Amino acid sequence: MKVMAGAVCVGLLLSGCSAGQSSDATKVVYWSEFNKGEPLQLVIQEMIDTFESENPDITVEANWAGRDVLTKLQAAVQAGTPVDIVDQSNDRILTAVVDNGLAVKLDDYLQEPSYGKSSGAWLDDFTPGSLEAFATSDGTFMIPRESYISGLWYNVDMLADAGIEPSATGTTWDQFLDDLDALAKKNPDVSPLGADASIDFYNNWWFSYLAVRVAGLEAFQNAAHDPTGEGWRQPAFLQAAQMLRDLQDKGYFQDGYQGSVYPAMQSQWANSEVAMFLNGAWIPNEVGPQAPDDFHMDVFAFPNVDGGLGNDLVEYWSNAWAVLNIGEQSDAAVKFLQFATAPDKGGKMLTDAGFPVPIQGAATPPEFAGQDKILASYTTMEQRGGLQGEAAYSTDVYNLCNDPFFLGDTAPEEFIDCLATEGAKYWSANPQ
Amino acid sequence: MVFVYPAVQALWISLHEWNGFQENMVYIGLGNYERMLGDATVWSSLQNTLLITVVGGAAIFLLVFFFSASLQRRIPGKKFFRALLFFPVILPGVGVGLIWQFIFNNNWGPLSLGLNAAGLGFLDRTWLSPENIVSSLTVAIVWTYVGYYLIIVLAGIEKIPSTFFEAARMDGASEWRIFRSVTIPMVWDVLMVAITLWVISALKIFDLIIATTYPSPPRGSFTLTVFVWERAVGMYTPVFQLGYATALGVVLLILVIVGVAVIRAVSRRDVLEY
Repeated sequence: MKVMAGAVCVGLLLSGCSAGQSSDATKVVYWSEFNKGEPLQLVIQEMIDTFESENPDITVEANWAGRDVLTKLQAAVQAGTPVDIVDQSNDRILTAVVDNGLAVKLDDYLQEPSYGKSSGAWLDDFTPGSLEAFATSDGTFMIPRESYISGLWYNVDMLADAGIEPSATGTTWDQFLDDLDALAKKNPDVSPLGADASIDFYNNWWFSYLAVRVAGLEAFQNAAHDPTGEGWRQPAFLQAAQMLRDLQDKGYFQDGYQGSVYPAMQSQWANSEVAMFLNGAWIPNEVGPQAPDDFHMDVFAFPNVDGGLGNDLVEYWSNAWAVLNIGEQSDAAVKFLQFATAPDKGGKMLTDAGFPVPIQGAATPPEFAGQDKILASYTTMEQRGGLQGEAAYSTDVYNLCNDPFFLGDTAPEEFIDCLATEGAKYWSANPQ
Repeated sequence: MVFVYPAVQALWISLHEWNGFQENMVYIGLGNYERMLGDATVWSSLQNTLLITVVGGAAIFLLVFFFSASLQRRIPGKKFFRALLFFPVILPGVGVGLIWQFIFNNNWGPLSLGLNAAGLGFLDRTWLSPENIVSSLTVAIVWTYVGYYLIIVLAGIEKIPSTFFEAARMDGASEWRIFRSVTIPMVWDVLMVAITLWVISALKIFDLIIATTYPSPPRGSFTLTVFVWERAVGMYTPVFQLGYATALGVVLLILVIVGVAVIRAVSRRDVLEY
């Protein structure tokens, strides 16, 4: 009897152990751009824990790889290490994962019912246009998580003090110049505009927006893809460059912006030494915690230009998930992503934590009300009119020419000449 | 095996176009090397690397001579000063870089504030602007590394029997003459080792530049190693050109080998035994 009881106990213990280890469970390997302890890492960990408790047959093994997750993924690809899900910003996922044929096409999955539902389609969980914004001509390979726009972030009280109350949309370039002038006159110790010029892809924001506003998105993209580079020589692009130079010549940017190493200017902004700056909608989460309690920030869309061909356009991008074809559990990986984007599951966790998500019915965190207003009436475009996703062109032509121009080392004409010359050189070495 | 295999493998990869995500590399022969000839960033990175190596090296070893001559004397607090000079060496490069990022900040950094407070505002500069960034980084590098080479040279000096110095003093030699005619010749080998180590580390310098300009070093601050990193993995806009980055790495390796060979050739002289 004692032997039988002992055997039963041992059996129970073993079965307990095996249940605890979930040795038969399907394992989804997830490599994330976050480090342990970051706000989004905590949210995703909560998602994983809840998902695993609701789906005991699936475990999600997270590797908090940090921002260079894609570099680490290179090693995984070469070593044949299975990875099912990776996340990063949509432009980097496009360059590293989608363009290299490593992503699973998700269109069929998006037609399936969403998490926990027996009818409908997963794609209906997303706000209209948000999936399409990150799809390629071959299909959908990315699932957006938090989505952001770019715009002019401003110190609400400082502008109000100068009699300026910007509307989220519809500001014109002339109004904008008047506002900058009013700010400079009202408080000469404060810089109307700020920039951390150590970051090249921040520097190219100004020209990109101006060029798109004046010439139109199509002309901008065509110029960048013109194998002769001559497309850049259209008068509209020179006009855009001159508009930026005009801001610099008037001294609107803070003194020494050329040597300002990120995030020095953002600290100046939070300390009311700079009135506004052009940046992405991560600013509330990035600067908010460091700013004084009584600091009020808001955003308005990049000004429209009278007669411009690219008005009412706003950049839109996302930190995105991709399911990898080097993994072994695509179906389970998609199920996790369906959970992560379900309005009442992962979507709620993200919004509760203060992140703006492109999910139907998701509450907008108060800091992102301006973003919502802009998205309601503007058409979205990819970052820098799509050039951000073309990393090599962006780095070897666009930023190569824009940096010296933004820093004031080259004239608008030299800048345009550089774009044309370097563009031709680039396309000659990298035929389309 | 540990050195030769990766070096040969690197040479092989440098003959290919490869982004690291594809299993197959595309053989392009010397294409990456030809591309370097027309790549302005290669030349500006090389110029910055050599500037740091030569100007930074000259500054470091002038300071090493000055401090070693000073610390050779019996002065109060000698050990403290030696420890103070060595202190930056024990700090992690990233930490040192962040310290210098703070020092060079024009708004609240002590350098600009100090100059303006002392009525020397005309000397204030935008320290990390394109025209000043390499000079500013060189100052940071000199400050960081001078202690390391000083300790090496001082260790050599302390091995010299004191009778040599006593004899020179009895002959009426000045301190400067003793340093020039006794100390330097007798630590010549140690000095050459120190210079060789400096050249190798200067050609490969990376962490301090990245940390001072974190998170995105401007192109004007690129050294060859920073450019290798930017081509291979980058930070914000990675281009993943591993073949080209590896070719740049091969050039860097050749530079190190040539640099060391040149130092050995020009520094060859009879060994003094004592």
